[in-house]
Amino acid sequence: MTETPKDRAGISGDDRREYLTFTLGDEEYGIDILNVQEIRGYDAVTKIANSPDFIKGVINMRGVIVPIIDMRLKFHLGVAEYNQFTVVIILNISGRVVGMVVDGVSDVIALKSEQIRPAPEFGAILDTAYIDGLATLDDRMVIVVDIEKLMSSGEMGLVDQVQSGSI
Amino acid sequence: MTIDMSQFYQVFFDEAAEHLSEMESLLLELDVTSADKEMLNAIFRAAHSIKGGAGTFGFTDMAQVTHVLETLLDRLRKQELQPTTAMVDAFLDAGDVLKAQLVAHQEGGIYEDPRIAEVCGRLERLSVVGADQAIPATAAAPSRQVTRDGTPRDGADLAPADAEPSCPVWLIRIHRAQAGLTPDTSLDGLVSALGELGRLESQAADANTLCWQLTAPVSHDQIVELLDFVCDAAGVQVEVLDHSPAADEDPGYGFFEPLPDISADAASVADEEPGFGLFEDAPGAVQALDQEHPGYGLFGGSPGMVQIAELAASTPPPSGTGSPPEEGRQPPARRMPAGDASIRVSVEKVDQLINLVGELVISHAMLAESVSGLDPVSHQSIFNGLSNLERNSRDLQQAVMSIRMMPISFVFNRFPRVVRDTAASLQKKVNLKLVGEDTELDKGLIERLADPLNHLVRNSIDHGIEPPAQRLAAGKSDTGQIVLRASHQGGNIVVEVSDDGAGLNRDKLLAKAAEKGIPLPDHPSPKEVWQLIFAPGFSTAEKVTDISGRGVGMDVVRRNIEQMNGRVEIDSEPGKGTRIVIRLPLTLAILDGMSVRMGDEIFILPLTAIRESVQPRREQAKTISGKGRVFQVGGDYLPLVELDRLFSRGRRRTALEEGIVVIVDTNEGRAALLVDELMAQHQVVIKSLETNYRKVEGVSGATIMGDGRVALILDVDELMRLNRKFGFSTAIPEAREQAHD
Amino acid sequence: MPKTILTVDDSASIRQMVTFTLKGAGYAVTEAVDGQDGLDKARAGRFDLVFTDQNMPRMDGISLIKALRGLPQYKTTPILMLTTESGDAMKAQGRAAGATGWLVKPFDPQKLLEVVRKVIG
Repeated sequence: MTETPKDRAGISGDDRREYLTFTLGDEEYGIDILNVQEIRGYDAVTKIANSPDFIKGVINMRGVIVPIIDMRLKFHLGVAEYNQFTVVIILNISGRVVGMVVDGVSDVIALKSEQIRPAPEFGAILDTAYIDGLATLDDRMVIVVDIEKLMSSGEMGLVDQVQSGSI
Repeated sequence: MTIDMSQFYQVFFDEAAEHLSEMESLLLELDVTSADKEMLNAIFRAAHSIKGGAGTFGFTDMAQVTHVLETLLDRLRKQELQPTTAMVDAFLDAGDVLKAQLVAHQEGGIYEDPRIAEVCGRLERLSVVGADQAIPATAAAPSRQVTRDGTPRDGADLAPADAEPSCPVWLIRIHRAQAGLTPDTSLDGLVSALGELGRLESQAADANTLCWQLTAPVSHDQIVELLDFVCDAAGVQVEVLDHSPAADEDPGYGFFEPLPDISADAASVADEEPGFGLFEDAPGAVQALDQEHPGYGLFGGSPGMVQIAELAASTPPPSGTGSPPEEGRQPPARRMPAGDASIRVSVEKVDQLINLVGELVISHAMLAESVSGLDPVSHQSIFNGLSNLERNSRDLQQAVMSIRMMPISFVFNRFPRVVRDTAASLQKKVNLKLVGEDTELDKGLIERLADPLNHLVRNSIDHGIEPPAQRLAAGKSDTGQIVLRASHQGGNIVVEVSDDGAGLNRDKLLAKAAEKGIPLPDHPSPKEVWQLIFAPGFSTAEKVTDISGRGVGMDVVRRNIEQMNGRVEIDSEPGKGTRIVIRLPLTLAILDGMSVRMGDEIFILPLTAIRESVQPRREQAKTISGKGRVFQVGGDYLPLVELDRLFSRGRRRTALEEGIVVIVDTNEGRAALLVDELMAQHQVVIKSLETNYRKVEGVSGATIMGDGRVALILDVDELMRLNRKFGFSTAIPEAREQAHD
Repeated sequence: MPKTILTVDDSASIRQMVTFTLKGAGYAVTEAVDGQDGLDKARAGRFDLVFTDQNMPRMDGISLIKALRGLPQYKTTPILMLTTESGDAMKAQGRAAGATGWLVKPFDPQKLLEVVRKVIG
């Protein structure tokens, strides 16, 4: 079940970069594969008190405590079911490890920078602020996401934002 | 043979730091009015040792400062001078400079600051003041050393006293009268200044003339300039000497000769065999003659010379000059550890080790859990192996943890100085007593304890200890006492700061609380009043009274301690003093805890917080004035903290009588924590949630349980805060009285 | 059998340096942290050469030298005093106490080896 796509992220001569694509609802997203640490199934999580419901909790990944976010809940894509096919993408965002539950992982694709076109204002699930652009591959449209920016945003509540009085 | 001296640096750094702190504490203890000779000796020894090491390992800046320091200390221990407070101050400042130099060297740099020159100058002046005789004892007799060219050596490693062999030799003559020197003028400062340049020898001393021979890489002008400070140029004569054997002397090199004027003989010997010529002579002669080499010498006719002479006779004479004769025979320098003492590793490596051992403990727990269903009889070897593994990993864990343990003296030792300085600036008399300095605790805690303790001690001096007159008026000794005490109590370390000062003033604290709008019950207990000083913003810059000032930053102290999973208690008696008690876990890495179940989740409750558990009855819970729930136990009403309510935003799932109540100690007093079930006692490895996530209210961290799942570690103090937020309950001190209404 | 050397110094860094240097050259080295420790260790064994510092807690170098010369097995053993003071007064004291010679601190490993080779080969 666990594979490390990172291994396949070969160095190509041109400016092509590899992206892992996954689906959320009807849309297909791509993220820089260098941010992907591994892909694994969904394990029992430990709930975190008083956290938003898209933060499913934390898991033990070889001794490291990793928070798990359900992107489907975050973006209100209907009922999120957890079964043996549920996929968690473990991301490494500047040293912080975060797990992301998605509908499914589809592919690893290589894109040249000119293949990624600026995204127009459109009704994607994700705010355009986190979108690098759109790429068309065969007849699929892939939304290229700046996953670092998204995961570090206050909206995700993953990191302590500027000190707010805690007492 | 080249030896990399840098391999010894760390030991020197540690040792010098130790000597410096020892010197400081001795200085602080020193009573200038009746200085203890042994103490002066010990202080001298500390400075002396630093100088020796600094010179040996090439830290010449430190060697220079310690040299000046040692010069004055030497005069004190020989009772040529009486110690004064000014001297102690200068010594302490010199200690600070040395510390800064040491730190700079540790970081691979050099400490450059005008302070160095200032302190050295001050020390020099102090050793000049009150000096009576003109010339130190070393000037007694003309030099009798025979010298020759030394062997090549790494000049860079040497202190200035070991000038290069090729240095010019200067003859300095001062005509006392012409130079404007009276017989009372002290030349110690000058002598030590010249000594700093290179090797200085007194040549002759009569009533009218002083004469030194200086071997140093300096110019004529530099010497004259230096002399200018002390005497008129008219009486000074500086000339370079010819390279006569007597003058071409290597620093510290030579063999003593038994007779004062044998220089002609020695010179001829020297001509024959530069370096080790005397060994070519007959054994008997060698035995009788003093031998002086660069940096060492042998006493002619002394015990032991027989053996050396025999050896010399059996050893072929060295050939060639300028290098050690047995060079070819030297075994290669083996790169082996010096075979003792200590090694230096980074804290990160130790922490990594601790983490790995923690993983090992978890792996064991997981293994044990997964085989727990097996039949112990048919799988006896597995169970035996597992129990061995458990024992070994526990031992390993303890051993690894002990690497991080350090005596609390590392933080206590700074306080004599803090107390001295603070008391002096406030014109108070304070005596500091340290108790239990050997008590060990985690290095990480020690570092984090320093600031809060510093704050508490300063506060005690500032606001606790009264001025001497006031103390006398109160019938106390004019000198206040502060005690810093550390001890182990169960799995905790307890650090106490107590003073015999005025104590806290209940009325003033209450008035202040009212002014600040801090809620308090109608009849607060003393503890609740004292605890006020830890309230955020309780006392700010405005310095109203001696008591209110005590609160400056005390909330920060409390927060710092709480971040270490510790707690602070305060006790005070008017007129008698104040005692602040800090309780800390021994380490930040491992926690003794009780696992508790709440719904499907397992939490860890630190054992240190648990007092007892109670099977609750429905009637024990009461609601006070419609705003909070309390739990009656014995005659007390404790705030009832319902974990499920807190962790699910106020929704309640468990009926009181179906759960169990754990009585916990919080920094707001005792509280009743309702959970579903008590599970088992564990030693857990603390993991941070913040590594990949963020701070979670009510939780101090996480750990991994035997089944591989994550369990959150509860923070009872934060639970109290959460309880106010979600639990519809307030801290209700003196609930007893309200409940009886 | 390697020659045995006792080095008496209250400075751990100096001891370490001496030990390292001499062991590297094939000598067997024993360390003592002060005069008293040095005397105890000297009594318990028999060393071919003793190096001692001057200023040490408990017992200084001169006292150690005197005490050693009082022991039958150290009547003629070379004893060298390490000292930062190259002054005549200190040397005279050392000579009177029975020292065989002196070595100025600071010294470097080369110098140390040179002296040791000269004294015990």
